[in-house]
Amino acid sequence: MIDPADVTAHVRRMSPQRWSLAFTAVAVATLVPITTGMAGSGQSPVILAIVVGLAGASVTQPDSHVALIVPLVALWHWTASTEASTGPWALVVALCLFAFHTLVALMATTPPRATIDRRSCARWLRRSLAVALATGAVWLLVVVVDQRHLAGSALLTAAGFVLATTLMVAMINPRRSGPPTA
Amino acid sequence: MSQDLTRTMPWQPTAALLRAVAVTVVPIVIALISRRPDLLIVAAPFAVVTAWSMISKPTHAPRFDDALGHPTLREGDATTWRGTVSGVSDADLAIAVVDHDAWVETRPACGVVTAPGDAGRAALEMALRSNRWGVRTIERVHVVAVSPWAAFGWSTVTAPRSIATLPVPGVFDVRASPRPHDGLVGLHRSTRSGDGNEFAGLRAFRSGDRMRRINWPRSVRVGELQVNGTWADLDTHVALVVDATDDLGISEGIDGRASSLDVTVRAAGAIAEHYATRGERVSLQTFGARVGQTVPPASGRAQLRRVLDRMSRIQPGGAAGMGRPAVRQVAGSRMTVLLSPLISPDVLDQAVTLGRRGLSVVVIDTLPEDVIDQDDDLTAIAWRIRLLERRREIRMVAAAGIPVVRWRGPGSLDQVIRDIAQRTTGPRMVRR
Repeated sequence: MIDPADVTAHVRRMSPQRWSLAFTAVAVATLVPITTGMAGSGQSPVILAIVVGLAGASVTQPDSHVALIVPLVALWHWTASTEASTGPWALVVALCLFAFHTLVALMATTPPRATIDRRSCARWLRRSLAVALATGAVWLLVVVVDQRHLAGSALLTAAGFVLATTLMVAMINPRRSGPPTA
Repeated sequence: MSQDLTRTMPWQPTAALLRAVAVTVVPIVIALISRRPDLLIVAAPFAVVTAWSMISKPTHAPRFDDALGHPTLREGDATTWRGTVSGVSDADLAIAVVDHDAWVETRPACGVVTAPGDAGRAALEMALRSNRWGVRTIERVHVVAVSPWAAFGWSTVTAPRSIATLPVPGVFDVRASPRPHDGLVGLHRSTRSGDGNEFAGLRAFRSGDRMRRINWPRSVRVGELQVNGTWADLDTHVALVVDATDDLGISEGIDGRASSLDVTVRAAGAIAEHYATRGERVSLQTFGARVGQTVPPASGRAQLRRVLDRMSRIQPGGAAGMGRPAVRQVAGSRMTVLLSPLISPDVLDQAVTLGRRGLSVVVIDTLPEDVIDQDDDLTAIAWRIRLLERRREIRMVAAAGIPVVRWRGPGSLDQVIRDIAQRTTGPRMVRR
């Protein structure tokens, strides 16, 4: 449960950097239902209000699971109000949800009064840009596959899954077997 | 110091990792079931983040070391707390949250510092400034390290530390001497001859004189043994008696308003610095504090440090009343300086008692002038009444021959010390 007194104290102590992170997180979360409305059957003020409210609660308690509800509600809204659209709106929604997730994760690492150092912020920004580029690449791939109406292949899907799993396990295992330090 | 004895939590998944996993799995499953390739696009960044987080999951706890630059400071001085998270290459960001008491300032002011992990090491650094004398406590420092994307978190809590903050002595100087002549060990010498260093004159040999004192040329000339007479070496013992019964007024640390105990401690430090560094013996006795602090008489910079160190441990609010031990402590002093806000009449009674025992007592009034500034009218009136009574009590004490002066820094004691010096040359009636 979110204690209103905690939320008030939290908001009062927030640093300027924290305010900007919180504002950006709420702004990108707000863009999701708006973009969904533009891609689908129109705007839904109720969904917009719910998402904004949940986003606001998420930035005041970023280490809680409230922030998980925002992308799930947004996903449900996207699935329910749009057809299988691979247009640019899907990319915008994906990037907005990703930005929201990243900002809330960054906020969860520090108390509200903290100011995160510039080098760390720059590092998170660089990584986020890399992920955004990868998302763009995935979008292009999906668009190409969708436009060419390629037939699905169970064999290729299974092979791709096995390959991805093998690659991931291969990358994780050497790290796990490293010698522990004192 | 390695934090082996502190509370440490192992690497644990965070809410951010759960969120990334959920927003990866749910849309992919829906996409496969309902043939919605657009949901794969939505899941794509979260899938990358989840994979990245899992690949870079730290496998063992990092090592954490922290240290304070200086355990002892003077008011207004700063030191640095340093912490290092090391031994884990996947520690992406380290955060330290320092809890401290109200008299410690931190830089950054929020008391939270972050540092990126580089090559398996994250160096945290925070400046700590102590604003007021006393033992300042740096409570437990909460240190958190997170892996990339804040997917896993490790935390530890350090043991509390304390910073002894010595009072900064006020500016003080005194030109008058409590003795009628300039002297030897300190600025003052004995008025009687004895075993010392300064030549007083030649005199005939007496039984008990040291052989090395014999002036052989003079003895040969006059035909009898003559010795070099000297003045006895004697320094002044200044006994500081500090009233720590109450701390009145508002203390804003070294940069702001001073409470009565601030003024008392800084004034006592100033007097101790003035006399101890000139070779005079200085002693300290507190009363009314929770734990009484006593420093036996000695001189020099080491003694000044001892006096300041003891005063930094004063906590007001203990049992009132000076009692006999204090009287014994100051009994051999040349000058007893009693520093007090003079709110309790007991202090003035004690000053009169000491004066009647033949001691030279000077009372320094350390009550801040702004103590009467109260928001509550009734409290302000109560203060005004008490101050009127206090003025009458001070007049009575002054009439009994005990000088009471306000602390004003340099020259505060000149006139009263001249009076003491004059008084020592005349006959006195002492009540035993």
